[in-house]
Amino acid sequence: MKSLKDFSIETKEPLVKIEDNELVSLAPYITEENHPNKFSKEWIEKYDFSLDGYTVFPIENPNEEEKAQIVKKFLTGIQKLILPESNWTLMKPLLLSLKYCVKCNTCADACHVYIGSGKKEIYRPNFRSEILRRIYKRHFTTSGKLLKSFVGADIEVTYAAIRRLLELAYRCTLCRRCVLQCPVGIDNGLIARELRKLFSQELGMAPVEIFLKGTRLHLKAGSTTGMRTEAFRDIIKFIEDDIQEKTGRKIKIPVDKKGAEILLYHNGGEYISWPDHIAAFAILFDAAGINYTLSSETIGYDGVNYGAWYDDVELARVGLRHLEIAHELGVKKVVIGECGHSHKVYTVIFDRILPASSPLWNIQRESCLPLMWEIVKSGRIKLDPSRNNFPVTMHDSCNIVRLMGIYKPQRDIIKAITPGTFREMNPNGSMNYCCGGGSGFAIFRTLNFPVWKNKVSLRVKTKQILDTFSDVLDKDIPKHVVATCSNCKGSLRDMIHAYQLFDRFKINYSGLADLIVNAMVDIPPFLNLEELPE
Amino acid sequence: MEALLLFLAVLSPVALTAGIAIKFYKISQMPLNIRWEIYPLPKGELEKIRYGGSYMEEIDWVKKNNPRRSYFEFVEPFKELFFLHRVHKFNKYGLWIWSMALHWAVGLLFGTLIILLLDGIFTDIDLSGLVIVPIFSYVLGVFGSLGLIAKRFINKELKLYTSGIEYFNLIFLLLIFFTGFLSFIQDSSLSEAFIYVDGVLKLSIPFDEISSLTIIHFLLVELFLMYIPFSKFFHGPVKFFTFHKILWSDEFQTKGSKEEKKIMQQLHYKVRWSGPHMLSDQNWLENAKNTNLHEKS
Ligand code: SF4
Ligand code: SF4
Repeated sequence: MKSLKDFSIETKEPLVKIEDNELVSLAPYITEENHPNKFSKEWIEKYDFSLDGYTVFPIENPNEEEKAQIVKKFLTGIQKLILPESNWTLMKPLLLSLKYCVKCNTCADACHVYIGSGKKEIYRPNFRSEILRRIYKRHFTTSGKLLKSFVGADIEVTYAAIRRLLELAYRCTLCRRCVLQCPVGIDNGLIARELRKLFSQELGMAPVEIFLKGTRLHLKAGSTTGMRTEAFRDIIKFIEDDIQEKTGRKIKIPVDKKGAEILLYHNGGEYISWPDHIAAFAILFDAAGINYTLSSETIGYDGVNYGAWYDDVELARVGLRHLEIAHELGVKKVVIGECGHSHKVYTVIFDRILPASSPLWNIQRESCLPLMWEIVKSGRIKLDPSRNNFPVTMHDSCNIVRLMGIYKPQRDIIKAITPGTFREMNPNGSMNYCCGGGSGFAIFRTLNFPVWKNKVSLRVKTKQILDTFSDVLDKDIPKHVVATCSNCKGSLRDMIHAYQLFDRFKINYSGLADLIVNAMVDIPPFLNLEELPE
Repeated sequence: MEALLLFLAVLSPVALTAGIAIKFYKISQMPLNIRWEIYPLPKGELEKIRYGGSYMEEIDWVKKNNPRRSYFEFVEPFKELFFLHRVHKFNKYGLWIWSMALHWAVGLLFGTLIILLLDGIFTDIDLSGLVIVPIFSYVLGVFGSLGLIAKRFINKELKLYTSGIEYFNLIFLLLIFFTGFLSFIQDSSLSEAFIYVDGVLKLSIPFDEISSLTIIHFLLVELFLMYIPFSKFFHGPVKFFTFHKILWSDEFQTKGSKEEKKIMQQLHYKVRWSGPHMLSDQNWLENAKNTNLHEKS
C-alpha cells in the first residue's frame, strides 16, 4: 500500500489479497499447498469483498442515495463516540487513543492476525486506528479542518472506506495484546471495538451471529443458541441421565433453587456443543457439596453477553437481566463458568455499570476458577493425577488472564491433577496469543468469513500448540489442550478440524472441569482421548 | 522586539504549566469509563505483580482487604521514561536508540533550564560546572532527531503512518538542539545562556551581550514549551491517564464513593444513538431495562 488514502478508493477489487504462501508457515509440522479459494460467483457479484476478499456481512451494494445516508450516519456516529453522554462508557480511553498515538508501530508484532497473515498492512493493530484517527481529525478537529493532510487528516469518507472499515472492525479479536506493547498506553483493541459500537449503535450493522442471532435472540428466546426454557430442562434431564450412565451416580442438577449460595452461569453454547462439560461441573460441584443452582429463566440459562464485543447498550441489557435473575433467586454470588468474555463482563465491566449501592451490584460476581482450585486443594474429592498421564497444555483465555488477571488458580489445578505432564505454551499468561476466535470469530459462520478465520486468525495459535507439543507429536501419544473458555474451545475445535490436528497428531481438547473430573478416583475416566468431543 | 522576546520568555513556562493543568483538568472531567484494565498491573501483591495476577484470583475478593497500591505503580513509569522499556523490547524498526537519545535530550533540556534558573536565583552558588548537561542534551538531541527523521523517511512502513506534522515536530526538535549545539561551539562555557536566563529573571535581558544564535535557540525552546500541551508532545504527560487511570485502574467501586455518584449521574445520560435497537431519547438506565425491542430490529 502506497498511501493510507487508498483505503477510500471505490473499487470492487480487494485492497489486499491473502495468498496462502505468504501466511506464516506451519512447517515443519504441516506442509500446505497453495489452494486459492474459489467462492461462489453469485456472492462475488452480490456482496462486498473489497477489504481482503472475505466478508462477514451479507450486505448488498446500496444505491447512491443510501450510500450518502450511510456516510452521514457514520460521521454522526463518530461524533457520538466522542460525546460524554452517548459514550460515557469508553469515551476517555478512546479519545486519548485517537489523539496521542506517536506512530512508532511498537505494537505491530503483538498481533496474531498481523503475524498470521504474513504481516499484511491492513491487519497491523495501528492500521484501522489510523484510518479512524484520520477521519476523526478531518471532520472533528480544528487542526484537521485547517491543515488537512499536513496533520494526517487526509482520508476521504466514502462509502467504500466505511464499508472496508466495517469489515476491518471484524479482523481484530479485541484480545488487546497490542496494548501491552504500546509505550503510550494506546488501545488499538479498544478502537476496533468502538468502531463496532458505532456501526451497531448508529447504523444497526453487526454480524448476524452476535446481533440478530446474538443479543437479540438471547433477550427474546432466552439463549443465543435459540434454546428455550423447555429445551434447557430437557437437556438438563439428558445430562443427568448421561451422568448416571457413565458414572453410576444419580445427580440432581439444581435448577432454580431459591436461596442457593451460588448461581452458576454457563455459556449457553456448552449445553448444545459440549454437554459433557456441564456434566463435569455438575459432578464436581455435587461431589464437593457446593450449594449452587442453575436458572431456567429466559436468559438465565445462557451466561454469555455478546454485547461485550460490539454494543454497550446490548451489553447492559443482557447483563442487567442476568443480575436481576440472580437477585430474584436470592443467591449471594454469581459464579461464571468457563466462559472468558462473560468473566470479564460480570467481574470487571459490570463493576462500573451499576452504582455500588444497587442490590444488583452487591451480588458478588466471581470466576469459577478460584472456587475450583479451592475444591481441588481442600481434598474434599479424591483425585488421582495419574488418570491424566498424557501431555497437557493450557490455552490462556485473553479475557480471563490478560484482561482480569486470573492466572494462577487454573495452573495450580492442572499441576495438582496431572503427574507432571503439564507444559506451558510460550508465550503464556498475559502475553499469550489469542486463540483466534475471540470477540465472536468462533461463532461467525456467514459467507466466506470462516475460511479467513481458519486460514489467518487461528494460525498463530495452531503453530503455538504444535510448537508446545513438538517433542511428542507422535500420533500414538494422546495430547490435550485445556481451555477455560467456551469461545476458545470453539477455536480449538475449528483448528483441529481445519488442520486435522487430531488425525495427524492426536491433539484433543476440553475444558478444565472435564480434566478435574477425569482425575476423580471413584468414577470411571471421564475423558475419551481417542475421540473428539462432538 | 526585545520586549516581545522577554514577554515570550516569561510567558512560556506559564503557558506550559497552565496548558498542562488545563489539559489534565479537561481529561479528568471526562466521564468515568467502565473498567478497562490490563494485566500485569504494577500494584497489589508483589507475587501477583510478577505473574500478572489480580485480587480476582481469590474467593470472596470483595470482602478481603486486598492491597491495591504499591510503589511499583510509580516505579514502572520510570522504566519507560528512562529506558523506553517497551520500545526496546518490542519495536522492530530499530527506533529505540534514536528515540532514547531524543527522550534523554528533552529530559536534559529541562534539566538545563532548571540549572540555569537555579543559577540565576541563587547567585552565590556557581552551577557553571554543570554545563555538561546541556552539551549532552544538544548532542543527543541532534543525533536522535536526525535518526528518527531518517528512519521515518526511509522505512516504507513507518513512512506510511508519518504525516507532515510528525516531520515538522522532529525538525522543530532538531532545530532546538542544533542551535543549542552551535551556541556551544561558539561559546563553550555557555555563558550567554546563563546571562539570558539571569536576564529573564530580572525582567531585563541584556540582548547586546548575547549572540543572535543563542537568542534563536531560546526562542525555539520557549515556543517548544508553549507547544507541548497542545501537540503530540503531550504523549508523555498523558500516560498518567492512559496507564494510571485506565489500564492500571482496577479499583472496584465502594458505596458512597465519588465514583458511585458519577456512575449514577452517567446512567441518567440520554443514550442518543439511533440504531434500530436504541431508544435515543431515553437514558442509559431506561435503555438497559428495556429488553423488549425485538420488533424494532
Ligand atoms: S499504538 Fe502505541 S505502539 Fe502502536 S504506533 Fe501508536 S503509540 Fe506506537
Ligand atoms: S487487539 Fe489483538 S487482534 Fe486486535 S489488533 Fe490488537 S493484538 Fe491484534
